[in-house]
Amino acid sequence: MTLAEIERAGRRRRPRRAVALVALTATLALMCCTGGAAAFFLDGLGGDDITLSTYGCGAAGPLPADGKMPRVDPYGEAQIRNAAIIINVGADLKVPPKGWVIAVATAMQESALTNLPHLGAENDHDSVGLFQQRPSMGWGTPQQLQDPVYASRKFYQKLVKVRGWQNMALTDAAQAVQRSAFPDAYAKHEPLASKIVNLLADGAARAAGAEAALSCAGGYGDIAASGWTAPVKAPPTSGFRTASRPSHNGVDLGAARGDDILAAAAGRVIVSRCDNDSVPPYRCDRDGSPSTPGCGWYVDIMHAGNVMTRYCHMLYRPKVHVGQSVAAGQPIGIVGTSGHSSGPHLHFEVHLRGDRSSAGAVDPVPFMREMGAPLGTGV
Amino acid sequence: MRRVLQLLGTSALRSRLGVAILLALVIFAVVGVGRAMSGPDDARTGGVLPVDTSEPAATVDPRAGDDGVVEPEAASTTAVDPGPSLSPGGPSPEAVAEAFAVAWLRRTAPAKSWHDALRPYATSALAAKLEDVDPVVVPASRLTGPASVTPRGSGFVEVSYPVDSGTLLLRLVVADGGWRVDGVDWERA
Repeated sequence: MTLAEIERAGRRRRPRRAVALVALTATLALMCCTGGAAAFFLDGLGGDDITLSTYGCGAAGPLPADGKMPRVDPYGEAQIRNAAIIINVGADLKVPPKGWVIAVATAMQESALTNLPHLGAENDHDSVGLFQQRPSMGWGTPQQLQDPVYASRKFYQKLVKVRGWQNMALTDAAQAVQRSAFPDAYAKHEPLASKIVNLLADGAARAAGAEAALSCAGGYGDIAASGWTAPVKAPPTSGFRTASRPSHNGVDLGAARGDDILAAAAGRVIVSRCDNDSVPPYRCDRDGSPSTPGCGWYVDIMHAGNVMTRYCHMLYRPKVHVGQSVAAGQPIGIVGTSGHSSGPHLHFEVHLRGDRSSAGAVDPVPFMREMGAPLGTGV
Repeated sequence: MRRVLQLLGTSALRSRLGVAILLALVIFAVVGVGRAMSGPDDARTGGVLPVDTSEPAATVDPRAGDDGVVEPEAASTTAVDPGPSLSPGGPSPEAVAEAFAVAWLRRTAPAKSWHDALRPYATSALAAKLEDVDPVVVPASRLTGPASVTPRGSGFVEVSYPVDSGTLLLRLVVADGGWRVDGVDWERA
């Protein structure tokens, strides 16, 4: 081939190659940035109260703890850096992300994420560091326990020895490690600890909580690291406050009669009764109709952070009673059609600020997606 | 350089794929400009898919299709509702909470007597969670003010006290016919 021929061949081929290159680049960009593209188009359409931090489920891994750190009210940069250290140690030890949320929540309660020295004479025990571990109880020397990496490693080593810790309520797992005088205290930190883990580790609190391999939780029955799961596997059939149902303060999930309804997160039952009928024979024991008022047999559960969930139209009296503590994923009743209902379904509500009235209700769809427990995607 | 651009231009217009890519770029640009112009975080006025959640259509009965709770908010937002399983004549939730709190604050007590003093006022679940706890780790030493009582549901009450280091919050439920402490929470001041 002469030089001229080569040049001609090159010229013939070049346009096609250019188009192929552009197409390839565009395809790759689309494939790797679908999350970004989705965020570009959808950002701002989600709920008002929850900020969508990222769309990942932890696959990108935690941020290194030595970079610049964000602030997360009420915590400053130094405290968030301690959270990043806790998360990185958990990832290094191959502890599933639920453990990272438990560890961050524990340090929030024990030290407000501050590497505390011994508090001196005002403190009559010897607790130090992020987790307030005690040298006299064999956790390590005071110097070691004020090294955040060492302290975190000791926490995880003890956590993974607690039998069934992945399925426990966060506060019970934390208490099993900490042996504190306030066993309930860790629960209130769960929402913010999940948010911090999402922010610092590519949404890892939305990953399947019990597995070290980071992939999105599957919904129904699969508890995310944040501690949430979808209550039934069926998808929404009717949305939150739609134009045709403006006072529909929840979503209807098209589950079948007899399906189990699961507690969406750990919490305490505050209502378990037949709506608007407190004397037997209960109206709720019969199938309802569009002319029957109310939500039938129903349960309200109060969760950490004053989030409340409501489950309506159960077939029988709920399986849980008022005051009872429930774990995430625990069956609380059976799908039915009691109350104002034309067929079996679960009417599911999410309320914020501990407000049981309709003023506290938010759209469950973006809320549950942010918790890593999207509605209607279960297997 | 110029020739490359020229070639890109003509070939892109000639091939369907090229046209598609160009159109995609135009859409991104339009949406991007729209979003930039509409200001931060205002989906309702933004250029994309405006979602109207404000006013219901006037023809729709606002109660139609509401399959939520109809019973009035329990009047017990201030009154304690003991529920059906409380035996009559027992101590009030405040009395049980205070006895528990006073015993809990005795952090210099020997471990065994600290646990023994708490047990009559605690549910068996709480007693199990406090097993092996060394009272020296109790983070407060005295009550500094009166109790505030918040009913949370039928047979479920929260009682909180200011303590010298913050707030002690006790959750009480009805168990074995009487009020018992089932949860202990403490918040640093």
